[in-house]
Amino acid sequence: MAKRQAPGAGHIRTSETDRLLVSVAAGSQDAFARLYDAAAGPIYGIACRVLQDPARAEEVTQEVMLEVWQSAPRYRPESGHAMTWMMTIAHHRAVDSVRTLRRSAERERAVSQHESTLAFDDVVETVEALGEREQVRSCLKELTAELRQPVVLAYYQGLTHTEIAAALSLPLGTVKSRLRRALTRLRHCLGAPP
Amino acid sequence: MITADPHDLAGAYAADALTGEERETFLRHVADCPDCATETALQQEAAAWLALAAARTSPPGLRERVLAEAARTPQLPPTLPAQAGERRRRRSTPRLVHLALAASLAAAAALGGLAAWQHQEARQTRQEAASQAADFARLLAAPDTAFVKKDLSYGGSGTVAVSRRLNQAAYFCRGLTPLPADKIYQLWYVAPGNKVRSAGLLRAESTLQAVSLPPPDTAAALAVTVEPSTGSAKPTTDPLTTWLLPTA
Repeated sequence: MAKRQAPGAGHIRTSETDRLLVSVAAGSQDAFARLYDAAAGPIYGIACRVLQDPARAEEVTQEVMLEVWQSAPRYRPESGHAMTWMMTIAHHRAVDSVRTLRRSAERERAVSQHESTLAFDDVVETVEALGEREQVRSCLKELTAELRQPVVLAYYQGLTHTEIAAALSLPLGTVKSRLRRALTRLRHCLGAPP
Repeated sequence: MITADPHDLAGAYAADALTGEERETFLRHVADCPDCATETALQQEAAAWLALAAARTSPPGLRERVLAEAARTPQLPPTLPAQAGERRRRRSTPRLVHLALAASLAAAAALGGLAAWQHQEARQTRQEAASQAADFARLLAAPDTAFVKKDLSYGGSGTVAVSRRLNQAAYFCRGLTPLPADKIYQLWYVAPGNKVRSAGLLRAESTLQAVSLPPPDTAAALAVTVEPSTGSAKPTTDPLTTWLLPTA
């Protein structure tokens, strides 16, 4: 979207959540309650999707919201949107958690064995299950399958690019460049998060 | 594993598809590549939409638990802008900027997922340099500014400049001993009644450093401790040194 400036350009439109996070940084618990109402749903949702375990997802949501509270003084609205900042923390935590679980359960090998058969159906199912944001679903659908598969496997299933390469029988370099192209197209389709 | 085009890793990074080691390699690269940091931030925006699309109603009772926990959990101190002397030099020597960015990125890696912001933040500090320098000039010129100097047992010396009239303070140090990467110096204001609050973080970055401190208000002393690299909400070690601040 040409009208949007890159972060750091200093002219990013401040959204309501950006303002809330700035108030949270100043210690406002009232603002934090309102920020919770805006962010807890997506944080819990992405944790559920990645972890496939509502109880663990609830724990992750609690940890992420607390990290948001504690780290808020380090957020700079000039540098990017609050929602992106919070979702970055949330997704990273969820993926960290699912990888630890996979390792400790020694499921990694089992997962990669199943991937090649599961991957394609899962991608379609996952995209169809995105009820909350019709716009995101339609932008995902506009991607070609070869761009959609890697980004859905990475973001919603927490696979590493190596695992994705194995699942889709693609060279590693191809997976990396497709992940980037997929996200670039999504951003052009969607703009900046609220 | 860095490919021929490291920019490509921005997508994998934003989607958390890199392993820990690859992340670190990528972050080291980003530290030297402002374009990569911008690209990474944009990729993270797109990724955030994917989280928003997956939103679900959060469990009942969680809201109350989170709010209650936040109410009893102190927040981290904001990272202080980099040193003023460092900043002046940055304009002419970009390499120093990169080193400072590398430091902020290393801290970001420790926090997880915040690299692009830390990077942008460092760029922002450069723009703030001019106003910071003006602040120092005002403090140093104020008629009531007092200077409290101490030789430090752990190396070098430290001087606090405080003006009660301006409610402004700065910390100058020489020959600060560098700490391991996972540790940082943290400054604290101590007010009557032993009320302690953070006055910012201090990295050993150059021989002579100047740090603008938050308004001292009722603080009667400044202390320095060694803390984990992200800083602490309360001191977790004994003060290395304490400076008594003159009252108004």
